[in-house]
Amino acid sequence: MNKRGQTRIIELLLATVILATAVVFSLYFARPMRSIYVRETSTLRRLAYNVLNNYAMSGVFENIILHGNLTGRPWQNEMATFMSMTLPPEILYYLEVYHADLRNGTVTLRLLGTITNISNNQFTSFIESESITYTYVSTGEPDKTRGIILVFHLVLGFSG
Amino acid sequence: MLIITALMIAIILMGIIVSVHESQMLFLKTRSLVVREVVGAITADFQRALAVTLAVATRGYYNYSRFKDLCGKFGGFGYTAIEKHNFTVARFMALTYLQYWRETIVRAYANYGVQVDFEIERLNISELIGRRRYVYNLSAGYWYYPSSASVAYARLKLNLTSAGFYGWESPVFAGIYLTVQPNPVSVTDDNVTIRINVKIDAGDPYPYLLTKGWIEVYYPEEHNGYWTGAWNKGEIEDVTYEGYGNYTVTVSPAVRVLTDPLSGQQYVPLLVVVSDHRGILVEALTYDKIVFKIRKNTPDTLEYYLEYSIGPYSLDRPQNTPFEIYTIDFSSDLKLFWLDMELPKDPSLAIPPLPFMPIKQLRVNISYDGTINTLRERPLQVENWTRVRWYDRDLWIPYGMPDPTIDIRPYIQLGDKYFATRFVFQVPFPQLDIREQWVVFWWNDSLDATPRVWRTNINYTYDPSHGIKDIIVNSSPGIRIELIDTEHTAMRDYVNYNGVAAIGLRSLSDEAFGPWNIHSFGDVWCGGYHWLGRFRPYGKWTVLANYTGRYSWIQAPIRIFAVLNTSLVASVYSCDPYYGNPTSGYYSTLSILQVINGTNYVPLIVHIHWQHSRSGYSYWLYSMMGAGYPEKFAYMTGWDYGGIREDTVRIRSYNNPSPVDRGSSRGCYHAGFNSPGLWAAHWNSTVGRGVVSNENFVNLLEWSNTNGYSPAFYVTRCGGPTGLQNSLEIKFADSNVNIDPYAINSLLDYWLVLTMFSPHNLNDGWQDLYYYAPMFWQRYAPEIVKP
Repeated sequence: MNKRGQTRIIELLLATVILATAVVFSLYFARPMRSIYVRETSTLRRLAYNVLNNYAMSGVFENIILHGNLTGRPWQNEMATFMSMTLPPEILYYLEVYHADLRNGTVTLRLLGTITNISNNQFTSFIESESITYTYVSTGEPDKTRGIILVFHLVLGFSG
Repeated sequence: MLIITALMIAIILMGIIVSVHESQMLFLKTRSLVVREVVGAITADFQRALAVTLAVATRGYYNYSRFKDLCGKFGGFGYTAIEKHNFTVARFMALTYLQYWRETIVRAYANYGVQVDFEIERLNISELIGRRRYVYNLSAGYWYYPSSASVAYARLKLNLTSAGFYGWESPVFAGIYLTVQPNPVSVTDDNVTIRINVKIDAGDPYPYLLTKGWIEVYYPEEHNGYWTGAWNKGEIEDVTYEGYGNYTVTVSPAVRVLTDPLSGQQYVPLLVVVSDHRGILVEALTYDKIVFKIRKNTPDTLEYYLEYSIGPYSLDRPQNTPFEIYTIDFSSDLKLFWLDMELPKDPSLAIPPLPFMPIKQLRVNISYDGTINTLRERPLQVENWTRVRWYDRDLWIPYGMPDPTIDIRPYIQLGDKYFATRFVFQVPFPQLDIREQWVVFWWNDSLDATPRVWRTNINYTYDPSHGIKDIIVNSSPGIRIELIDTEHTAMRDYVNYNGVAAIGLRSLSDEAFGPWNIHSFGDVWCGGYHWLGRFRPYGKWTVLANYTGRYSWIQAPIRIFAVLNTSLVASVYSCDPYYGNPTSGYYSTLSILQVINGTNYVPLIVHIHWQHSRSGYSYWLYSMMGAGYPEKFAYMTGWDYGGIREDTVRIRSYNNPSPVDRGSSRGCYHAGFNSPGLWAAHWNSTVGRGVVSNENFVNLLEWSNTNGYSPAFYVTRCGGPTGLQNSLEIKFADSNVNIDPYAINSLLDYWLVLTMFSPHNLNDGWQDLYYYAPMFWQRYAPEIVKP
């Protein structure tokens, strides 16, 4: 009787050890299975925000887009050149620029233009991509453009 | 068996935990990135939106027309040029714009389920600005001091419902702080160097003033060694960034250093305007007040002679002089005026310009007992004046009261016209031994400031349907001044002048004392009688009693003007062909009547220009009726005449004016006296009135005397509805007179001051006028001195 009781206790201890080991192992191996994919797209997202933030802080939107719209300068070409210089060469981009038209109590988003380095809009060439939205209230010179609200939709991706 | 069971459970557990953990990690990593970036982008954009609204408000406030490219775009939100100095409207514009911005954000970030709002809270900026100031309602500006700020503040609230992210709140600041050190770093013969500090938003030092922002420094314009009140843009020779938002700025030309008499602070009068890269602007000055003193020059003892005695006699002015109140104009071109004269200024006193700011910001403190202990804010009135070429002379004329929201313009020169704004204040000298009073002009630093509304006892009522065109002084002594002219021809219960301009004097209960006729020439025989005073000014009194623009409901608190400017004359006698039928070719009249609150005097400034040579019989400079109320009268002689010395007080009773020098003293007499001088008065035991003139007036009379035209002081016994008149009259000529415009025109600039008094007794009632008469003489005019 005593021997049988001791065996049960040993079994219980062993079962506990097995369960604990299972939990520890499962936690140890519990990492995102598709971690490579997450890292890459989040980088694109971060890059997209960084690019637009930097443009905002350095007055690119006023100097190229708004000034171009005021003067009739080919701002889309300038912006495309600027983006190509700023972004890594393997990155594909597609940028839509909208002007938020504030009238009669409503906001209308009016497309000012699109800029992309994807030839003939071959979007199938994206293998991984991220899109972001960004708004920008113009604060820089010239006075005429202060207060204009721009909305950007930017898609960044890796080419196939 | 148990071990096998445990193993099975362990395997299942491992699978579940791994799966759940992987999902959680993936979700968190993805979501945190979205939330972080979107929240960051929206917050930054909200700050930019706030900054834009503040840029519009501050640029518009500073100079709307200069920044019209920006401000004009916000006209659709209610922020127009007319409202440029209305920060409430600017705030409304900002809120409208931020609503649009919210809608844009909601639409742009629709796939994130963005909910965005902002809450307006109070922000304490006292530490940053160095005095107790708050941003109460989205935005505020505190300018024109050495430490100034423009700030917008709100708390942003954000939810990203699609990302399961709720309750984000962030305080968002947009603003600029400018501190100018009043004391210059150095002053050379060519330039001046000052130190400034610039911070933005939550008080972060701003190192980009030169690369992204800008600075302008203005110095006082100088002409013939005097500051004109205008600001000129200085040339910035050098700017050095010293770190932590500090800059030293060297500007040419050099500007002299002044000392604030109250604080002892040295300062170089400069105005500094700074803008950051977002267009937010702030204006600061190196000083926050302008201080000087007004010194009265009236004597404590007055001398006079009496008839039939040797004299001179002395009359000590009483210790209490409650009616010695000077109504002084401080002009935006830094000159000071009293009546129609520019006041002398201590050469060592340099008055710096008023800030470039709207009129509504300005305030004045004046002492009461001559010490700074009684410096209190007092009423201030703002008027538009112009100096015009009126025939052969330059004259100052008031032409209106401005819109208090417009900027102070030191002066405007347009051809031969010169415009300036005058800030009118009253300086009391309630006791004989108070000889100087402090005057401190200062300004409200809040861009939300509104003009101060002061209680006043004067008001103007125009009601043609009841025959009222009155300026009422509703105090003690009170009076109604009825303006008789082309639009109000008949004095109530009295005469119908049919377009001739005069001043009707009435009691507060509307009893007519009769007209105060301001000029008349010649005579006429008609209706079987011989009438004197045929040609009198014909025209309309233009009354200036209210501000214009948004604040037109504010009445003039200190004085109401009535201006008569006419080249026509007409007759008041119905039998005369010139009755209601004006003609030119005689004289032009420019008269400015001032009805002043809190005083017992009503000045009338008179300018006459004869257009052609004329001859006629008799020429009045004024006649003031009495409706039979006065019992006694007196006047002071203007020069030695016969056995009577200059400054002799000649006192008579209307019952028996004997002895007289001219005319008769019996019945309905018209009795004359020689050598009229600086004042004349009539009174009974309770009330008295008189006219005090200035030295120009006596010079004119003396000239007449020298040329043999018999100038005289007259009284008339009968006339008017009551039958008794008991008038006061001054004649330039009590004889035939030939008017030679070239000889006389230059003398016809003078002022007459209607003075009301309460006689201390019937016999010596004139003394109560005489106590205050020197106030109105040029030789005793107050002066501006350095504290």
